[in-house]
Amino acid sequence: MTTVPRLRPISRIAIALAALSIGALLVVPIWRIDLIAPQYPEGLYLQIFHDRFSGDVRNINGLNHYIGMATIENDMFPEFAIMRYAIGLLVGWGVISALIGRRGALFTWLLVLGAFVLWAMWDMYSWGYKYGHDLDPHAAIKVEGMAYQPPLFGHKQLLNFDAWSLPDTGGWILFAAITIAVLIWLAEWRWPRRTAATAPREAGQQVPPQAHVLALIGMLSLTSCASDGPPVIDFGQVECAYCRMNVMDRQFASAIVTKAGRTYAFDSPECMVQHVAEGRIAEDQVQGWWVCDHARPGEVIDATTAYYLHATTLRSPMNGNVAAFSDAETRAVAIVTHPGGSLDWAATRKLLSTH
Amino acid sequence: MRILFTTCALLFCACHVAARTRTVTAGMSLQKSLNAAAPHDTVLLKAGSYTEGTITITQPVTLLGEGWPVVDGKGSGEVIVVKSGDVHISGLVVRGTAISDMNDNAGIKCISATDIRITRNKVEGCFFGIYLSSVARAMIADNTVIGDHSTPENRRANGVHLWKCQHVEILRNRVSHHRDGIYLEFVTDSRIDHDTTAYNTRYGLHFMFSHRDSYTNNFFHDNGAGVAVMFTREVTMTDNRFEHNRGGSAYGLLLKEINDAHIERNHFSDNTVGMFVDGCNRAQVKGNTFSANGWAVKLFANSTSTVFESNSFSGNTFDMTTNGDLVLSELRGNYWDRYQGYDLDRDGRGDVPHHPLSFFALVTDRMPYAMVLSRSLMVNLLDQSERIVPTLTPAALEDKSPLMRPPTATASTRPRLSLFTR
Repeated sequence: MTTVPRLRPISRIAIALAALSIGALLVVPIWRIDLIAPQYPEGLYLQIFHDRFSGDVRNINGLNHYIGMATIENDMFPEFAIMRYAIGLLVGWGVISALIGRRGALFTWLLVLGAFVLWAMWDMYSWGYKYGHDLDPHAAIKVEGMAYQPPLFGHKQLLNFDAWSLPDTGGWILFAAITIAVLIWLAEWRWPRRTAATAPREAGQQVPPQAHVLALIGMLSLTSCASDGPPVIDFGQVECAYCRMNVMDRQFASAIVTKAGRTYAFDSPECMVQHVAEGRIAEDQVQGWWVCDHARPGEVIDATTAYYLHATTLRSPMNGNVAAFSDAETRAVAIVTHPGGSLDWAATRKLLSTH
Repeated sequence: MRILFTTCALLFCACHVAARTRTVTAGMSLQKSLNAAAPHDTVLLKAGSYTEGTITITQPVTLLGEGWPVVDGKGSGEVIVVKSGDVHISGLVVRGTAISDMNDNAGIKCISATDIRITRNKVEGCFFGIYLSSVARAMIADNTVIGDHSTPENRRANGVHLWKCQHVEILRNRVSHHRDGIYLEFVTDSRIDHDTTAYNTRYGLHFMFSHRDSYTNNFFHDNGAGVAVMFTREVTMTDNRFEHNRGGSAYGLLLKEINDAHIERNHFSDNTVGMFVDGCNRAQVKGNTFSANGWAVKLFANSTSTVFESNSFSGNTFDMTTNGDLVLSELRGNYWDRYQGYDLDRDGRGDVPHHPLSFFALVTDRMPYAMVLSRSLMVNLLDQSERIVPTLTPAALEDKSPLMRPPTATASTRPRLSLFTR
């Protein structure tokens, strides 16, 4: 078995930061239960900290008294006494795995985190079950067959109460930390470090996995839909991935769409071809090649089926002087004003890759 | 011998006398007057409007405007096309090109000629402004070239456009609202001095494959990017001001694949990125001032033997950032307002090296999103600890002898501040 390299420094920092952020659970509320009813226009809420309840505990207790529910008191929960150690363990384990800096260590931390969350959810559920079912038989209001178990997650109607149970700040922090840890683990596993670590990163090339992770997070919130149609080139706004020039020429602009659905814009076919020829995008990552139709500026056509003309008078942005046309007839028209050679896509690639 | 000399003198006089001045007033045809003129005549154009479509000049002539006559191409293509050497155009208002994706229509276009002078004209709302193609020995001076405000930004062309030219001087022009203010492709041995370019969509000044040129004392502000020098050798860039070029891909100065450049005494202020150095070999960057930029310098690791010396860095969000571990460039004797060292031997140089590359700058280069954490306590702590024990930032990127005070020479030359209105 080959040795797995250490995690990237940036991953380790992210892990350490994620672990340290869990420490915030010692001060911020972790969970929150809201009770909304017409008689309480402001609503009632209960916040669960790592060591206590807070919020409208007294009101809720008073309310619960009528339906025979037990009074909520901090003393009822032995969990409150041990939570701080559990959080300490999570933070410490995370920091240590960041220091060790190996994927295996990160994985053990993920296991611990997962176990903690499962335990906490199960604990809350079992408490809620007991709390909601184990009613005082002498309660003032009795509804036959009614249990008042609060929801574990989300919404539930209890009599005339809308009960919401959702993570509070601490819960979200924990959720975010776990997500980051999982994504880093996936990224380190999926995108192993290249051996040529000293090769400088060029624009659009060798995107660090962290960027993928963040892009993934971005994609989770903004669901993007990829289509097979020609990509949109944002003239005047987008930079050529190869030569860094702003893409403005509507007769020569080109684009590559990768299998991951990313679009790389280029100001000319020569930039596009060279970008791949130099390995800045791996050949097998290219989903589609696109060029602008020289005769219909701004119209993006499939590069692999286009008709090409190579003429020095064409003056493309990077001196490749190859123009694309959607059909042979328009090329025949253009060849009159720009005398030169006709090429197909394969010949064009060959010509421009050594340009 | 004497006879020969006399004959020559007489001939010269005859030529001189023969060069007459033809006056053209409103209502007359400019094209007919040009056709009727003898070589080296002067055609004096009186105030008024001349709308004859494209005017073509086919012989050496001086075309002088008096009282700003307007030559309007009526949107039919080019306005003035010069196809002869030894032509001088001055004092005209030129407007009315067609906007086209197919043709490079220009206000004043010169094709395959030598000894061209285009001075003191106003080229307004043209697609291309002044366009030289295969021209040697030309002077473009004191012109105002302003594109059309109402044309969509991606339908504009370059203000001053040069293609395969040599020995051109571009002096004291003002160019705005074009794609590139001044664009040079395959232009060698030329100089661009005292020009102002502003509000151009792409670059204020743009070099492509153009060698042995220089530009000094220019002012570039509010362009997509100030100046882009690409795929070019031996360009000298001195005493220019790069200001307020802001946005996603906005640079004061963008260097891409260039060799042997001299970049001295320039002033970079209020740009998103002051100087972007990508694939740049043997550049001498000396005595420049970088102030109040987002990133003063982005120095890519693919740049080699580039020397930063006696520059002044102050008030930038980040002084420097790079993208790799390998640093083949050198920093020495620059002034850094972030430097926290001391100077016990009082030689004006800090006694401990300065590491201009902050850890956070490196992080944001890889993860732009991390910018939201800027100025947070955690980041400051990380930066400080990284400064004490550099573990992630390339240790080679350090200034071993930072200056304790900003070098004074940098502020000596300040080009004029003529601002365009937007």
